[in-house]
Order: sequence, then C-alpha cells, then structure tokens
Amino acid sequence: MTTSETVAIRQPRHSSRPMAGQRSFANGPLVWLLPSILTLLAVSLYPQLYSLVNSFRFFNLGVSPEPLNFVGLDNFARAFRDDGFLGAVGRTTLFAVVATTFEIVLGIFIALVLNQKLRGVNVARTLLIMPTAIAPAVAGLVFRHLYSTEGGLVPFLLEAMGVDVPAEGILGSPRTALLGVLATDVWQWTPFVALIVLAGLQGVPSELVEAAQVDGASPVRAFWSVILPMLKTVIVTVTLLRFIQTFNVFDIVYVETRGGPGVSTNVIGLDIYYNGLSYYDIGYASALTWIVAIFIAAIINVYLATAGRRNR
Amino acid sequence: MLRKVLLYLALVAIVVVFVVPLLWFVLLAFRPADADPFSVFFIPDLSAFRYVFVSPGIGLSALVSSVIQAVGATTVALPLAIMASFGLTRFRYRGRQVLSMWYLGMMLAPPVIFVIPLFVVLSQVGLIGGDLGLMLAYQTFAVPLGVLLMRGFFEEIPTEIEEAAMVDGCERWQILIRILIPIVRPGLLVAGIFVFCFCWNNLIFAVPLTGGETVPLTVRALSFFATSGISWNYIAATATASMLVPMVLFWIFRRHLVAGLTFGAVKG
Repeated sequence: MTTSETVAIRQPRHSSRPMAGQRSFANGPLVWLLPSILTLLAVSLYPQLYSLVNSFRFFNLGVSPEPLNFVGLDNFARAFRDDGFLGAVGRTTLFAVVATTFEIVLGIFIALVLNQKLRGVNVARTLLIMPTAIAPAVAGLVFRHLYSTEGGLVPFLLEAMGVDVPAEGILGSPRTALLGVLATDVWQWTPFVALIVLAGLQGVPSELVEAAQVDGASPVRAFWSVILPMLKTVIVTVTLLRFIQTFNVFDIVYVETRGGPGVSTNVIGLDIYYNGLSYYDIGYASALTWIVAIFIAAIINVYLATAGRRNR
Repeated sequence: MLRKVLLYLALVAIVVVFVVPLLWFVLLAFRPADADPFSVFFIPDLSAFRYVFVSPGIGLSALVSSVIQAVGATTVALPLAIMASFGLTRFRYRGRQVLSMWYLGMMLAPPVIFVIPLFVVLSQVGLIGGDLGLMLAYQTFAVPLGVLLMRGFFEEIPTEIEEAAMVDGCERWQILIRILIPIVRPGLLVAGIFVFCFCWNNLIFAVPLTGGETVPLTVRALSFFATSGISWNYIAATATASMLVPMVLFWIFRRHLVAGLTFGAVKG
C-alpha cells in the first residue's frame, strides 16, 4: 500500500469522467460501495444512534423491558461520579501504556534476533506466529491454567526461584491479578510486533548498516542511528495499533478474572459490559459506550493521520 | 563466537517462552487423570476429547456452531468487501481516501461499543441466541477487514486489461467477474482466511448473542468452570480444537500475516 496509492487509475476513454462531480459518483462507484456501507450502517450506526437516544433515558431491563422517561444528561453525569467507571478508565490506560511499552520493546529486540543469520531462525519465525493466531479467549485459558494454584507452571517455577507467590494465586490476589492479565497480553502480542518490525528490518539495506560499522559505529550505535530511524514509521504505526487494541482489552480479562478480585482487573470493556448485560442498565451502559467511543475516536484519528500519511 | 552463542541462547529462550505455554496447555487435554500434573511423558489419554466431542459431546455442537458462524459471516462479508474494494480502487472521486479510513476506523473501534447497542436491537427483532444474529454482529469487523485486505490486492492490478475489455464493450460487472476476480484470487483467499479467523476467535459478541446449541467453541470452553470444580482436561480439549484451526491457517498464510493483522496499514 506504500506506493500503489500514487498509481493513477486511468479511466477508459469512452466512460463518463468520474472526477466531474456528484452525478458521476452516483453512476460510478456508489453502486459498488453501497452494499457494504448499508450493511455497516445497519449493524453499527443504527444501533449506535439508538444507543445515543437510550443514553438520555432511564432504561433498565431489570425494571422494565421498555425504555422509560428521558433523564437528560443524568447518565453522563453519573459516569463522572462513578468510582467504578473512573477506576476502570485509569486502570485501562495503565494497562494499555504498560502492555504496549513491553510489547514494542521486547518485539523490537526479538525482531533483531530473528533478523540474524542463524540456523533454525525460519522455524522460530513460523512458531512465533502461533500465539497471535489463537483466540485471545484461548490465550486467557492457557494463562489461567499456568497461574493455577493447583498444578500451575508459573507459581511452581516462581517458588523454585524463591519468589513469593500470593497464597490465593496470582489471579486471586488484588496485588498481582492485573500483572497476570498483562503478562498474557504481552505474551500473545509481542510476537506479532516482532514479526511486523522484522518485515521492516528486512527492508533496511544491509549496505547502510555495514557502512556505519566501517565508519566505526558500534552495533548499538548503528541500531540507534541507522536502523531505528528507518523503522520509525513502522514502529509508530504498530505502537498506535497496539495501544488502541490494548485499550480495547476484553477477552483475556473476561476469561481470566472477570474483572476481579474486587475491581482489581475491572477494565473499561468489562465495566460497560457488566453495566449493560449483567445489571441490565442499558441507559447508563449506553452513556458509557458513547463516552468511550468519543475518546477512542480521538486516538483512532491520530492513528489514521499517521498511518494514512504513510500510505500516500 | 561468544556473540553467536548468546544469539542462539536468545533464540532458544524466545521460542521456549512463546511456544511452551501452548504445548503445555495442549498436553493437559491428553494427560491421564492419575498422572502427575507436571509430567510430560505419559500414554496419551483421549477420554477428554471423547467426553467433549463424542459422548455426551457438548463440544460437538459448539464446533459445528463455530464453523457455521465463521463460514456464514465470511460468506456474507466477502462479496460486500469485493464490491467495496472495486469501488475504492477503480474510480477516482473526492473522499475516496476518507472512505478507506472509515473502514479502518470501524476495525479499530472497541467491540464493546457495538455489543450493548446490538444486543438491544437484536433482542427487539428476536435474533438473540441464534446463528443469524451473531453473523450479523460479526459484520461490524468482517466487512471492514475484508475491504482493507482486498483493497491492496486490487490496487496492484494494472488497469490496462480493463481498458481493453471496456473498449471491447464489456460492462463493469463483467470486468469484475471475468477479469479481476480471477487475478485477485490469492488476495480473496487471504482476506477470506483472516475474516474467518477473526470470527472463529471471537468471544465478546458470542457470549451475549448465543446460547445452548449455538454457543461456539470459545464460549463452550468457559462452561467447564463449574462450582463443583474446574475440569481442565475438558477445557483444554475444547480449546485445542479452537486453536488448531487458526494455527494451521496462519501457518499456511504466514507470508500475508503482517498485512492481515495490521489491517493493511503495514504491508507484509
């Protein structure tokens, strides 16, 4: 997608000239785009707008199957007084920042190793795809078992190394549960970052690195001054992508802790989910949905501006 | 020499950290109940798979549901994505770039913002608990993902062939079906595989929108956490079936992995 965008698509001579304006858009691409746009509007925009209406109402399925009276901005005001939601926002931000940082740093390191001429490196590359291929829910199950107090590998290894493991288990203690979930995300997505950075590394001409080393640059210096600047766009793109996706975290938390113990792993995704589908407070959950949607839209726009510029 | 040794050590450590947890989990499904929980060598016991997939086999309906839902959603999404890719690459108009961005934005939005609104709307039309409602919900990401992947393949086809065909009096839809689709078949396959895997791996839509017989594997695996205890061997057997499918597909299409997982933003 890097260069193909600049290839002008020439129109056959006898066709109407599509650049002319609205009418040609209707005669040309519209009919091709309409089915997918209508589908997306039906499955996303309509429910979203309906939820916007609901966010101004008192609508609790536990009280009445029908939406009740309009309550103005009450649901939104409640969100900013709700310690559960505010806590989840802070926790999710912390989770996203820490997980993304680890994934990017470790991913770059692994990519550098995988870029060496070593025997078996191709096999390693192929094997590293596996964590990314599986469902996040399954990754959650894998780690829930690894952390298990009965026969779990992680407490066994940690105790063998002399590290204290909470008696209630890694996921059972409010001190370590978020860390446990975070490690799962880092495990699943670091290989993904590594494979993308590796694809970028393979585009760095080896002559450049060699030239720097001939000029007396150490490998570390060559990495910082030659390789890293050339990878900048790839790293920025994948960082923003991972930040957005870790901010959206749901599956692994749902599988490993359901937000507990207490609220120690209650992230935004779960908070909204529980308000809507466990407490059936559709009005409030709709308001939370919209607050988060606006916030994420802002981040996504940064991503699009960055990734989009690169595409051109 | 020392550098080589350190690199090999790092390589081995990387593979161990990222592969052993998976193998360890798969072993769970085969380990006999009376074996030591840390044992690696034992005679494989298939009773967990028999329990889950044969008798009583509550995992079998989940496997069937997973296949129906993922194949169904992909079948709906691909023609829409093909048409959209055609519209995004074969015409020039203002807003073309913005429209592409819109599909990408749909892909990046947190799924939870779709879940509650969709749950409310689908329950009003009676589509909760069936395959159809879930397949509709999957379109929120299946269509954009298909578009983002396929667009790149369409862009790479030179327009000369089409121009010649148009001069010969071919209609647009004939060009798409007779000329473009055969050329982009690899792209079609890649988009299909990725859309399928994203649906197959889904949990957040499947939990509230399915029930009973229509529950897919990812949700079924969670049902073995009972108050009477956790049946890890059944969970592992169900999860192994779930992970095997995307693993094999990703392995086959590993070359297109990067483009697929970054929604086309980084070309692999």
